[in-house]
Amino acid sequence: MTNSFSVSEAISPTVSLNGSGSFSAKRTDGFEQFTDFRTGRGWISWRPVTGVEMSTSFDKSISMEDRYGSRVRDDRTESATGSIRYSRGNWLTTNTAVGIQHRDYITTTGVGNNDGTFYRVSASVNKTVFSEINTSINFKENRSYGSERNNFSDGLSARMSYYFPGDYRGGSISAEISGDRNSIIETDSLENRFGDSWSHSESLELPVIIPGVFIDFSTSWSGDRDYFKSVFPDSLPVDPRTNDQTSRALRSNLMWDMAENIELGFSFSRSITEREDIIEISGLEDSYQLNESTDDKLLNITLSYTPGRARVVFQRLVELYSYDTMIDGGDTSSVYTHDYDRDEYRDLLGISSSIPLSSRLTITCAMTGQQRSSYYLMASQSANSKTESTYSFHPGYRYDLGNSWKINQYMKITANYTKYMFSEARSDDRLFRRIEESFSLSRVSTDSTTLGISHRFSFNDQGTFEDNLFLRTEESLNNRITIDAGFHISSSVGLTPSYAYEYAVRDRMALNLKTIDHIHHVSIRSAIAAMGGTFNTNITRTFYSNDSRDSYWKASVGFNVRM
Amino acid sequence: MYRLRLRLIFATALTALVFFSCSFFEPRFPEDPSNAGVVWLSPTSPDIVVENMQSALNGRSALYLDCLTESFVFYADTSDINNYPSYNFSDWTKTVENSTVTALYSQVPVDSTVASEFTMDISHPDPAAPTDSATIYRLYNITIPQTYHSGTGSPAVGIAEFYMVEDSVGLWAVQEWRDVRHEETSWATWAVAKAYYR
Repeated sequence: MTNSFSVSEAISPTVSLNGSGSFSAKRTDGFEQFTDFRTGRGWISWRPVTGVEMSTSFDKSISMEDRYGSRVRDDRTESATGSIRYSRGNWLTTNTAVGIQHRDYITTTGVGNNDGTFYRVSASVNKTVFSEINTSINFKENRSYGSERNNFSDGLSARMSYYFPGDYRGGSISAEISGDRNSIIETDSLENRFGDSWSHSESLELPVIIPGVFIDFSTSWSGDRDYFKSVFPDSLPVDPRTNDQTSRALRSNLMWDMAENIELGFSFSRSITEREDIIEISGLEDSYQLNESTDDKLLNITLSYTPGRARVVFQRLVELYSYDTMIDGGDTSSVYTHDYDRDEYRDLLGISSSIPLSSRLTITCAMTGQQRSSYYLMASQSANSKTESTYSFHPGYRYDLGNSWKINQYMKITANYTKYMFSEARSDDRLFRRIEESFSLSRVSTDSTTLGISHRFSFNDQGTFEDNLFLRTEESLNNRITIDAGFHISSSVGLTPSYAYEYAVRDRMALNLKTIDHIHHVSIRSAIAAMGGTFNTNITRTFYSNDSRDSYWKASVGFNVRM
Repeated sequence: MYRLRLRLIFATALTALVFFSCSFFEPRFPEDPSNAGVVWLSPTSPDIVVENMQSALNGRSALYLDCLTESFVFYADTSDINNYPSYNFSDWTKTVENSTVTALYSQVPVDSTVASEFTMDISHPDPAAPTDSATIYRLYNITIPQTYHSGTGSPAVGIAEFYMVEDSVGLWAVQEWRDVRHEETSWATWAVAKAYYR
C-alpha cells in the first residue's frame, strides 16, 4: 500500500507554508512480515527580495519491519535544515544549507545512534560567450558529521556547447567533464571506504549538408573506483578488495527523409567496459585480480512509411555482446577458473503496421523473426552454446463504436525453437509454441471506471524436437472471462465492481503432473476525485474451486492530492 | 541534378556500409565441449525458471543469467545490510550479478561441484495460473566450495522472493529477487555470499 500527498499554502506573496508526506506498507504472510515506511516534511519559504529564497525545513522518516512476530528494524531520523538559495539573473545559482540530525535505530545487531550536523553547498554558473558558446560550471560539497559515521562527497562538472553559425546553422558541438569523490568514515573503525569517479562526454551534430539527412555522433568515457584505506597505513593491513571500472561508449544516429512519407533511421552504438576487481581467496592469505571486459555493438535500422494516418515500419536490428575475463596475480593453474567468456548475438527482422481503414476501424499487424545465439567459448561451458529462433505473427483490430465504447481484438501466434550447437554434448533441441487471443468490448471513463466484457485465451506447449519429431513434455491452457460493471455514483465518484472466471489447465506430461483450476476473481475499484486529487482503491479476492488451495486478498490504495 | 547525385552517392555509401559491416558483428566460435551441458527447459512458467536456475548453478553455467531479465534487481535482506556494513548491497543490477556469480564460480576447484537446491515454501504456494507477472517463494540452500560465506559445510541459506515477468512471446524471467533470511538458521544468505565478491 502506498500513499503520498503534498500541500502548499501561500500566506503572502513572499511567504509560503508547505508540507509533504508519504506512507508505504507491505504485509507478507508466512514470514509474518510487516514493513512500514513513513516520511514527512514541512517547510516555510520566504522570498525577501528577488533572487533570494530562505527556507527552514523539518524532516522525519520512520522505517520499521516486523518479522516472525518480532521487530527487526526500527529506524527513525529527524533533521532540521536552514537554507538560502540565491540566484542572479539566469547565470548564477547558489544553495547553502546547514542543519542538525538525530538518528536512532534498532536492528538485529543492536541499538545505535548517529547524531550530528551537516552542511551542503552548491553553485552553478551559466554564461553565454561570443553569442554562440554556452558554458556551465557546477560545484557541490556535502558534509555530514555523525557520532558513528561521517559522509563526505564533492563534485565538479563543466559543460560547453557551441552552435554553428551562418550556413552551418543546425550543427553543434558540446562537451562535458565531471569528477566526483566520496568517502564513508566509520568513527569506530580503523578502515574507511573511499570512492571517486571521473567522466567526460562529447557530442557533434552535423549541419544539414545533404538535404533531408540529419547526422549526430557522441562519445563518452567514465572511470569509477572504490577502495579501502587504513587509518594507520603502515601498521595495519588494509582490505585488498577494490573495484575499478572504466566505460567507453560511441553512438551515432542518422535520419534520412527520403521522400515525403518515407523516413530511414540508422543508429549505431558501441559501448565498452573494463573492470578490475581484486578478489580475496577464502581461507588463504592471497588475492588475485579479475579483469572483465565487455563490448556491446548494436546496429538498428528502421524504415518508416507513413501515408496519411497509416504507419508501416520495417526494422532490422543486429547486436553482438562480448564478455571476456582474464586473471592477473593468481595461481591460475589450480583453483581460479574463469571460463565464462562468451558472445551473444541477436538478429531481428520485423514489420509492424497500423492502418486506419475508416475513421472508426484500424487494423494492426506485426510480424517478427528473431535469432538469439549464445556462444560459450571455453570447452568447459561450450556445450551450453545455443541458438534460439523466435517467430511471431500478431494481427488485430480496433473499432470505435462511439460514445466511448471500443472493441479491441487481437491474436498472437509464437514459435520458439532452441537448437544446441554441439548435439553430441547436449540432449535435445526444444520447441515451444503458443497461441493467444484477446477480445474486449468496453467503455473506459477518464478516471478508469470501466463498463464492459473481456476475454483472453492462451494455449502453449513445449517439448523436444529432434529429427522432425516433436515430443511434447508440457502443455498449458488458460481461459479467462471478465465482466466490469463500472458506474458513477456522482461526477466525482466512480465504482467498478468486477468479476472474472478463469479456467487453467497445466499438464507436465514428462513428470506425469496435471493440475486443473477453476478460479474466481471478485474485485471492486473506486476512483474518487477530492481536493484536486484522486483517491484510488482496488480490492481483489481470489477464490479457488479446489479446497486445497488458499484464497487470497490483494489490495492497493493510492491518494495523490495537490492543494 | 547536383542534389540528386549527392543523394545517390549517399545511398550507395550507406548500402555498402551495411553490407561490408557484417563481419563486424561476426561472433567467435566456441571450442569443442569437454563437459556435458546443463538441463534447460523453455521457461514457460515461473517454476521452470527456478528449475533452470538450479540446473545452471549446479552446472556452474552462465545460463544462470538467462533466468534474469535485463532490468533485473537484487535486494538484500535489511538485516544483512545492517550486519555487514562494509559490504555493498546497493544498486545490484544484472551486471553486478554477473560479476559476483562469476567470481563465486571461479573459486570452485576443478574437481568440485556446486550444489544448489530451491524448494517450495509451504506457507507461500505458487499462484495457479499467473499471467504477465507473478511472485513466487523458494527456500534455497547453495553450496559453492571454497567460497567465503557459502563453502562446504556452511551453505548460503535463505528464502528467495522472486518477482517474475512474462515477455512478449510467453517466456518468463526473474525481474526482482528479494532475499530474506531464514528464521531458523544463522548461516549467511545468498546476498552475503555474493556481496563478499563484489
